[in-house]
Amino acid sequence: MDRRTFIKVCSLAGLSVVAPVVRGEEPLSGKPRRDYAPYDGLFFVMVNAGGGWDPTHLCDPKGAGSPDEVDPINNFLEADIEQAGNIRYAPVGGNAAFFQKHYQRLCVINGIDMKTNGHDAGSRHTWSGRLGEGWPSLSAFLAASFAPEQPMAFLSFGGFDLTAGIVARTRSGNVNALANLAYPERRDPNDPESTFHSQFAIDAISNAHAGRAEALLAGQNLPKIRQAMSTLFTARAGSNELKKLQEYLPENLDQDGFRRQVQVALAAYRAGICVSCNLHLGGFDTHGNHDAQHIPRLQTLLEGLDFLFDEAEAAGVIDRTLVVVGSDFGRTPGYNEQAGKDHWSVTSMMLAGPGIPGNRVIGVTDDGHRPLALDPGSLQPSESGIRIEPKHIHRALRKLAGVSDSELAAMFPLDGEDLPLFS
Amino acid sequence: MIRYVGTPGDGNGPAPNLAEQPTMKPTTRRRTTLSVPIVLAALLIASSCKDENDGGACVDNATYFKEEIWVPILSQNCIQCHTTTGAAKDSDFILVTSDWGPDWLERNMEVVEEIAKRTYEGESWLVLKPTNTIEHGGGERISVGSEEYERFKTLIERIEDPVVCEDDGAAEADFFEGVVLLDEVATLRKASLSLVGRLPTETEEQRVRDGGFEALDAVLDEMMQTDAFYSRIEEIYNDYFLTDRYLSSGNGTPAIDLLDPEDYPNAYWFEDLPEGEYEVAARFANDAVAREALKLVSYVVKQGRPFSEILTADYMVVNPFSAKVYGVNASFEDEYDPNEWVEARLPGIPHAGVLSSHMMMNRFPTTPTNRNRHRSRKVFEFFLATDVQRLGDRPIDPTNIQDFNPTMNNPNCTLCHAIIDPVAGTFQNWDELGRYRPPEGGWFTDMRPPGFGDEVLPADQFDAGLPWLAQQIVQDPRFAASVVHIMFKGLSGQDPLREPTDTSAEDYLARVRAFEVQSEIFGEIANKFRDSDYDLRVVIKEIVKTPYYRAANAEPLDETRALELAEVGTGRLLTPEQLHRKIQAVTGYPWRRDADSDDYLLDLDWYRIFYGGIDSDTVVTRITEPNGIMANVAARMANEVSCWTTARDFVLPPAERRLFPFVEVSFEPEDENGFEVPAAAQAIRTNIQYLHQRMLGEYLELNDPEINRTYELFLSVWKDGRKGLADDTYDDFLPFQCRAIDDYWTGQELPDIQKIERDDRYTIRAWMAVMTYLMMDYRFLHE
Repeated sequence: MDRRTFIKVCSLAGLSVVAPVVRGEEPLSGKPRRDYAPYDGLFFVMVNAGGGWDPTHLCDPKGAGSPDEVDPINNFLEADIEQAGNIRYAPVGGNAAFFQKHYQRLCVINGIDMKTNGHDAGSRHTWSGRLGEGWPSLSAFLAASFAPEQPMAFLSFGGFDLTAGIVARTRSGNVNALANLAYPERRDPNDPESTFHSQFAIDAISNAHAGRAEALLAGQNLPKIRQAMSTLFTARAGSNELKKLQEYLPENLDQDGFRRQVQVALAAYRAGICVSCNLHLGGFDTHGNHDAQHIPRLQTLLEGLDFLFDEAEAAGVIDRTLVVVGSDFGRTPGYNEQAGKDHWSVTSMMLAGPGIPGNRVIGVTDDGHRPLALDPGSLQPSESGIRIEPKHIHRALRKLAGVSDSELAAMFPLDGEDLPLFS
Repeated sequence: MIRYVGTPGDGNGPAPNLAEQPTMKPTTRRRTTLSVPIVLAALLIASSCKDENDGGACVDNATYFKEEIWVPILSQNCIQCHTTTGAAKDSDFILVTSDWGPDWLERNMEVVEEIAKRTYEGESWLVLKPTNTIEHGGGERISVGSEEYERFKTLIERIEDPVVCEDDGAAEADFFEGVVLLDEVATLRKASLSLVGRLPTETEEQRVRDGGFEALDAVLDEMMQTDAFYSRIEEIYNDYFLTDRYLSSGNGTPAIDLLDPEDYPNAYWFEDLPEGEYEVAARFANDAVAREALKLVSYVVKQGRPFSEILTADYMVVNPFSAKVYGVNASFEDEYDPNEWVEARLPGIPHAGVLSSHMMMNRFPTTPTNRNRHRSRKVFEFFLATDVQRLGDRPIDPTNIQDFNPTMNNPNCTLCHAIIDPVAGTFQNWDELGRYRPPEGGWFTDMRPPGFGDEVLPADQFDAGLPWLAQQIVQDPRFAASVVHIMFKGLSGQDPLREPTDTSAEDYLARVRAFEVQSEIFGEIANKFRDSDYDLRVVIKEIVKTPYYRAANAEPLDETRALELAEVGTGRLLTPEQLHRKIQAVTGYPWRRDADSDDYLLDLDWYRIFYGGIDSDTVVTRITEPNGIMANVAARMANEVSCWTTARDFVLPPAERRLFPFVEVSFEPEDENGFEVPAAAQAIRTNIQYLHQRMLGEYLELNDPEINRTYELFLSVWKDGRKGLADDTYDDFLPFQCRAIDDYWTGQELPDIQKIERDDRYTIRAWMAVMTYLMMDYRFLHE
């Protein structure tokens, strides 16, 4: 029995081969989910700067008024701040190279009110759109919305990657061992003839599994066990597609960890088995010696993003690649006694990709990096307006992806105004 | 019908069906169907709260406070202001939420009792304040004579004359009504695989079958005296300590490189050893240093000491190899045994169990500005069941932060820092690298003074802040709770439930009820733990017996019950380590190509990370739901292990076989004319029945549909094979890797007469198909 047949059998039997959601197991309908063909929709790439980056050293630059200023917000001068198109950036590290090259694809959102300065809560707020617990990460939400049956639907390299039970999370290990896993039925992955069992036996085992899966699920009433069973059967159903990944992986992976994440994620997407991914780069929690540590880290991040854009372009998928870059929160305006910066509950995000207007900056902060309220219609500063929070960005992204009215969206609602962030 | 939850009387007889399985005793207690989440007050009041004076169930003070005071009044009407950051932050009446930790309700009750005992003209402040009879910043919150007022009055009476009830377990029984539990023998199998990585012996099973749960405790007690168990405890705690990062086989810095040569000039003593010895000694020494904290944990358990000694121990543990690294005097029975651990003390170092461990200090480092706050946070997480960062979940407003020193003065920051900073100060004598270096200029004056909670570290104990802290922690009720939580996570794979906070959520009431019941059960276990003088084995035995560990099925559930029981069930995907042990326990062989090669599920360069495991370095959380790659790992495992072990098992005499004791390779189910050979078919069915039991823990009758399904698989593959052999489509030789030609462990070639290289009846390959089928099964991969 091939996978398609298995899915069909399960469907006829009333089984959910999609990992069911925690609060019920009815298959979700009315979603833009593709029907088990290789996934070729939008590729959602979330890039997490772990530890809390400093937007004032990046895309919401704040400089000192003069070299003699006491307790400056930053050590560079306000007068030295540079600009690419409409985007102002701090005159440090690799900012100029990055923004001058990519400003036309970038949408910067500044002055995001995180309402927390705790790492876990901040990361959760940024990537789930909700300060409280329990909502899935945006990557998981989108993967579950479009193609949860794919074997690497949601590929995570770290950061906040809670799935809330709506899609399986995949973590990449040593890719050199992938060949063995892509062809588990072969003794030698490179020899199609070297199967452990005859093709007849392989099919018979598969058929027996399908029948047993049906029996096990039919006799089980505890939601947790039903979900565990269903998740395994779903994972098994999509496992054959893994071999496609082999075709797209570069022969030699980059030595840099972040670039390697980019390569694996892009290969998985091009293989049609991946919908979304979390890329992760840590090291931004610079409580001491901030400039010396933070600026090079930002440069590594920007070089990685540049690599991502270039690789996606070379692969011909840049028009389908939507990138969201964010962090736990921001860092305090000014330095502490150890020349470091502590946690600050205001941050920025950068976005690029289809549907995202480039060369655009939304949101304003004052000289002390405090967010200004915006009119929800014009997005211009207004004392009677509102502050931008992650939920606004998530609502806009859900709308952009066409899943704002789905059952999953109803299951994980995000209250708040619809802001015209990408219109 | 699949009957797997119970076990038959003699191991092969008829199994009990689902309806005969033990279920929790039904009660007459009502279950609410309220859908409007006016917090859990309605739920709890409707379901359980009857005063003893009404002739109903006894309600003790704690329950009364929780259900009649906290839920409907304080959490709704008071906590908005009476928090450390609220409008009443300067008052003496400060409440906390569940983020505080497991004892948050007790803490709130203490605060309320304190206020209740204050009187003005004979009347308690508890009613005077909210009625604004005496000045109240929040004005009149309740009126005299109202329902809330009367509840406060009742509470005041109860505080003066406490009501204590005997717990009859009714709430727990009601919650688990209709849940089907594993019986004692099935529980034994699950616990045995989990705790010591092996199947129970027939004798052990029979003892439990005869003696019930009392006998289960006794058998588990014996299992928990073995090295396999101590290793399991280390494995569970490493998920928290993550010090395996520093093992020789890991990706992180080797442990010995983290030691300061000035402090330990003999750290690399093994460099003088000749080649061959050097490598082994270096590995033993490094890994002993790396696992110092984990070994202390298992040492305390092994010695039968109170588990609190993991913090209060005034010693560390060393083996012969690490003793030389540290340069400490210790005597060993065998100077070359890396598994011999003894107590040792570093001169001048005030030991405080794992708190003062070099590796813990390095794994959770600090910086000049962090000032040990990270270490403090971990102390709360590991040993006080408190996630301090959750206190930071509440909204804060950056525009309000203007203070010179916000962590001291700004309410947005003080909430967490008031808790973590004093504990951070008790670490003051250890520097960023984990070296004992008391600060020359004393501790920071712009932080709260070192201490724990309301206790301040006495000045004369500044040199021994951590031993003092350890004593404070183990006297805190949260310490016992933390051990219960960690063991529960380790054994079940599930996080303890957290109290839901979103009162507008559809499933709020159900989640509250689930949380309350679990908290109650865990509280009882924590009490038994304390009463046993902190015997860790008591915690494990009690967890194993809870419905959370044993729930295998349930009667059909309506929507409300499905929500309530959402986190109940035994569907844990085995970790790579557990699956590795189970494969060997069942087949007799590990999943590795030969005795000297790498274990596929344990090695970082093979499948450990792909299968959701951790490397204790950058990958520190386990994946608990299988994905496509993990399904393929399981498929490869099933194919390879069935290939490597099937023929090999047939080499052994039947009595020694682990997989095929009831059949021979010559047993074919049908004759040449297609007629069944009854004796052979019966033996094949019996062996399939045996495999279902051994591999999946299913006790099935011979005519069970699942036995039929597996038999049909065997039969169809065998028939196809015979046909293929006849028309030369298939080779009568087994694939090379699947042949039994040598001894797995020694590599020594088998005598020709014992070798199995051919499969000219196709029975071995048919059994291989059965083995692959079973090893990919849900119940093989989950426990």
